[in-house]
Formats: sequence, structure tokens, C-alpha cells
Amino acid sequence: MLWDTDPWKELDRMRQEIDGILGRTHHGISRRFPPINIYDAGDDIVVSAELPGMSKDQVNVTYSDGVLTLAGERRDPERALEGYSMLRQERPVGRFEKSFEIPTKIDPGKISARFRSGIMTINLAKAEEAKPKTIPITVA
Amino acid sequence: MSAKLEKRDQAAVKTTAAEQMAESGPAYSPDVDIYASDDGLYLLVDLPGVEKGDVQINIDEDNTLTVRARNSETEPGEALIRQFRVGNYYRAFRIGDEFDKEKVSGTLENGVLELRVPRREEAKPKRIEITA
Repeated sequence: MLWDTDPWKELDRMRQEIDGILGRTHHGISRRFPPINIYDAGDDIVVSAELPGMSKDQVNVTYSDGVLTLAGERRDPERALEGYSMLRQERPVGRFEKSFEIPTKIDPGKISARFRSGIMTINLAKAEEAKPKTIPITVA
Repeated sequence: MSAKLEKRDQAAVKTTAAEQMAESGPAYSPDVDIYASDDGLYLLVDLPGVEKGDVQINIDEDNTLTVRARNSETEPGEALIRQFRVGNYYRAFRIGDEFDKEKVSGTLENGVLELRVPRREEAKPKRIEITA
């Protein structure tokens, strides 16, 4: 790796990197929010997103042309506010929109989503041609 | 065994899910917001995947407040993209003597734990009315 010759620039880069690790930017919510995992579950592709504190009517999920998008806004609880001063804030809050490509051909008519304990799980059924096939072989 | 039955069994033997998890695998540090007022502390802890009954809150004699939680999320297959790890949670804080250890209360909703740690009555600031 090449080091930048300007130490201040380098420090700035390191600061940005640390901000990234801490999941925060200076412009509100991190682009990392919400973190998502994508799984290959045989006949389905499963996307799970960590959205603690949110419920299903607060997140918009859309699928178009192989791209899945999650959008919404995560807010601070309103009661936290009067008479309270903030000592520490690590939980990301703010508007977010996150899109990612689904790595397998799927059937757009067979997408379902559910919410449980702050985790959203989206099931996308693979297109027939993308499903794993078991070919029975008859031994003569 | 159904998840419901499993939880009831754990309660019966006084071994909480959170205690069991302390011995199994790594625990991740959850994101926390902390607010303070004259009445006490108010903490919000992100515990995605955790169900009611799977959180253990403890304050020991050194005034260390610990939160342990068991994540019941399971991974449905091979991960193609991974931005978060699925595992249990652990976080500890030191709190001052002015808080009332006996009166800590918490609620868990949608994977967020709200904790209230009240100040002792004698530690609360007093407003003195000047009447004359």
C-alpha cells in the first residue's frame, strides 16, 4: 500500500476510516445502515437486514431489475428528550436508502418479507432455471 | 422442542438463556445511546434478533452494569454477502454510586432494549423554594 505524502491528508483518511468503522459519518446516518446479509438457501435467496427499533410499516422494500432497495427513516425515541441530555450516541438514526444487486435470477412474483425483533427477512424465490437440480441416475 | 417450551424449561431451572450463552461462542458489542437527567439514566441498546426473556441485566457490587442477550436469529444458508455477524450480545458499563441498583427496569421492543437506572432519592438535586 502507498502512503499519502501529506501526513494531514493521511490523518484525515484515517479519521474517515475510523468513522466508517464506528458506523458514523458527519452527514447523519451511515451509508452502512442497515447492515444486510444475503444468503443462498437452496431454492431461495434470503436477505436479512438489521433494523432494530423499526417495524414493517416503517420500511419500504422494492425490487426492480435485479436490484432490491430498502428505504425508510430510523428515529430517536421521542420520550428520550425532555429533561435528558445525551451522553453517548452510537445507534445510527436518520433517513436511509440502500440498494444492492441480487446475485441470482429470481422470480419477482415470489418475494415475501417479514419482521421479527428488529430483523427484516426477505425471501426471494429463485427463478426455475436458477434452482439447484438433483438429477436421478438410474444404475443399470 | 418448540421455542416456547424451551424458554419455559430454562425459567424452571433458573438458568437464563443469557447465562447459557455466556459459555457459548463470541458475543458482539451492541450499539448504545445513553441519556441522563436529574431522575437517572436512560439507555437504548440495539439487540436485533433478541426475544423477550433472552436478556439478562445485572449490576454487581463494583457498580458494573452488564447486559447479556441471546440472539435467536438463525442463518438460513450460505452467506453470499455479509455485513453483520449473527451472535449473542454483551456490553458492560460502570455507573456511579448515586444510582439505585435495586430499581433498574427494562423493556425490550423490536430488538431495542430500553433501560432506566434511577438516581437514589437522596442523590437527586433538590429544588429549594424561597418563599420570603
